[in-house]
Amino acid sequence: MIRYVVVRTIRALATIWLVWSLVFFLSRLTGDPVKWILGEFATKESYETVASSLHLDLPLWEQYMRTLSGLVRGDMGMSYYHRRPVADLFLQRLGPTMALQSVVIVATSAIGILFGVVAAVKHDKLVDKAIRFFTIVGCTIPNFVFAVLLIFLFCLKLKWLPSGNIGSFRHYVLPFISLSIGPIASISRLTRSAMLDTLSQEYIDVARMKGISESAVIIKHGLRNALFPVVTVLGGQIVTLVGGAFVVESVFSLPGIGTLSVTAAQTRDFPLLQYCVFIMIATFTFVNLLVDLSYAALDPRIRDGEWATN
Amino acid sequence: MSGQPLLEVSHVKKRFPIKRGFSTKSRFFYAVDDVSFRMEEGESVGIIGESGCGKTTLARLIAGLEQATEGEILFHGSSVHAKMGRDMRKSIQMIYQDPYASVDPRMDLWGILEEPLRIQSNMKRSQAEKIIMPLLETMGFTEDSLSKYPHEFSGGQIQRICILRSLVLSPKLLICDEPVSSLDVSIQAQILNLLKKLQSEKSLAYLVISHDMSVIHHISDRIIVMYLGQIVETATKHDLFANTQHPYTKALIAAIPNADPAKKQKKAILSGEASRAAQEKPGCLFQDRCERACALCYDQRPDMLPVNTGHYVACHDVQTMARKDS
Repeated sequence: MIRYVVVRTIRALATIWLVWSLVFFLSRLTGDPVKWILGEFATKESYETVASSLHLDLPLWEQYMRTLSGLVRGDMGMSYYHRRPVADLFLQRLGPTMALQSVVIVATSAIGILFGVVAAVKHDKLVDKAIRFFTIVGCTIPNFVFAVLLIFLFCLKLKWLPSGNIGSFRHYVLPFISLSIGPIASISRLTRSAMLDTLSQEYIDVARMKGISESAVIIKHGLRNALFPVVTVLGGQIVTLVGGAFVVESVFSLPGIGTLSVTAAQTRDFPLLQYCVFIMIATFTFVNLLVDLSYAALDPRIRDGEWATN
Repeated sequence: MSGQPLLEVSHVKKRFPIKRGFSTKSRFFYAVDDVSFRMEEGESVGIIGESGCGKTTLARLIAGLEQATEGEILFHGSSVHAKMGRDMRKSIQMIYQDPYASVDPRMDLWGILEEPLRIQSNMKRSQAEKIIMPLLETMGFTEDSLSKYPHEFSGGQIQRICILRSLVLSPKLLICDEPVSSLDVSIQAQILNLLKKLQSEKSLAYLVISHDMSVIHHISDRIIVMYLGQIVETATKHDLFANTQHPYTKALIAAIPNADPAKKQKKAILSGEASRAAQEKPGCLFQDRCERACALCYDQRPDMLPVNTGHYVACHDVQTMARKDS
C-alpha cells in the first residue's frame, strides 16, 4: 500500500511539471507581451527597457529555468499588467468560482447518483423512462446553449433572475443550472448502467436469500460495488466542470478564475496564465490521485497490489 | 410417505414476455410450464434438462427470488414468496454455478460468513464464531483465511466457501444450481462428495440442478427430467436408469461419456435443439425431435401417467404401448 501511494504521488508530480512546461512554451508562441503593453508605435529603447525589466530579453531556456526555480521556491512572479503578485489576483477572483464549483460538484454527485439508483431500481418503469429522457437531453445539449436559453427565458422574458455579475445568491442560480445539468445527466446514466449490472449479479440474490432488507441489498451490496466507475468519472467531471466554468463564467460575466484566465491568455500575461494553469493542473492531479487512492481503500484487489501495475 | 412434505410444488407456471422491437402484441414464453412435484425431508432430488429448459427459473421460484405466474409452492405447508418471513428464508438456501459471481468481491471471508447470522439473528461476534469455526474446519479452511478476500481463493475453494455460507444458517433445503459445472473435473468429485457427506451429517434436502447426467446420477435419490419448462419423466435414480421410458431421457443417458471403449453402445443422438416455438403448437413439446412421434403426438399434449410405483412419464408412445400390453 505504501509503495502504491509513493508511486502514484511521483507520477502526479511529473504530470504537473509536464503540463506546466507545456503551457510555458506554448504561451510564448502566441505573441510578444511587450508589444501588447507598449502598443504599435513604441521606440526601440522603451521596448528594450520593458523587455529587460520583464526578463523577456533572456534566451528562452534561461527564462524557463528562472520561472521553474521560482515555482519551486513558491515565488510565482508578478502580473505584467497589474504589477501585483499573481497569487493575490488569483485569490481575489477565487470566491465566485469556488462558490459555484463546490455547489455544482456536490449537487452533481448527490443528484446524479440518486437519479441513477432510482432509475436502476425502477428499471423500465415510468420513473426510469423519465430519467432516461432527461439524461439524454442533458448529455446532448452543451452548457453554453443552456446558458443562453436560460438567460433568454428567465432574464429577458420572465425577468425573474439577473443575467450576470455577482451580488446575491440569485446571481448564481442560472450559472449553477447551466453548469450542472450535463454532469448530473452523465453521472446518472453511468450510475444507472453500473447499478443494473451489479443488481443482476448472483451475489445480490445471495444477499436477498440471507434475508437482508431490500434497501440494504441495494445500498450495501449494490451501490457499493457499482460506485467504482462513478467515482472515476466524478474525478474526471471536475476537470470538465472547470473547463465549462470558463465558458459559463464568460456568458454570465461572473468575475471568477475562468474570466481571469481567459483575459490573461488574451493579453499574453504569462505569469498570471501560468499560475492559473498551475493551480488547476495541481488540483486535477490531486483529485485524480485521491480517486486512485480511494480505489485502493475500497477494493482489496487493488490494495494487495494485484492490479497496481495496470 | 408420512405427514407433510418438505416442499410441495403444484402446477407452477412462470412466464416471461417475449420482446420484439416495437411490437405491441404481447407474446409470452413459459420458462416453467405447469410443474408439480414434492420433496421429503433429507431427500436428494436431481433436475436435469438442457439449457433453456427452465431449471434455473424453477430454482429461483423455489428460493423465493421470483414470483410464480400461476400455481403454488409450499415449504413445510406455507407459501414461498419474495416477502416470506425470516425463518423460512433461512431454511432455503442456494448455491450457484459460478461461485465467484455469488460472493461480494469487496467482502472478506469473515464478512461473507457472518453477514447472514448478523442479519437473521443479530448475533454477536463470539456467538457467530461458535457456529462458523467448526464449519470452517469441516471445509478444510484455517482461521487465517477469514481475513482473505474472494479473489485470493481458487475456484474449488470458493465453491466450498459458498456451500459453507449457505450452511451457516442451517437450512433444511439446499438448492444447488449447476454446483460443479464451472469447476475442474478433479474438483467436481471433491465438491460432490463433500455435498454427500454433509447431507448424511445434517439431514439436508438437496435440489440439484444440472445438465450433466453423471453429476445428477452421483448425488440424487430421485431424478426429474425437464424439457421446455415441463416435466417429462420422473423416477427414482435406479428406476430411471434401469427402466428408461421417455425418448428424451434415453438420449440424455446415452450422452453420458463412457470410459470403456470396448463397451460400445447404440447412441440415441438428438438432432436439432429445444425451440420455444414448440410451446405455441399443439401436441407434445418434443414432437420435432422425437423419432417415434405419431399422429397423436402432433395433436395432443401427453399427460404424466405412472408406469411403475413412483415412476411417471409424459409420452404417448410409452402410454400406448402400456395399454396394448395390459
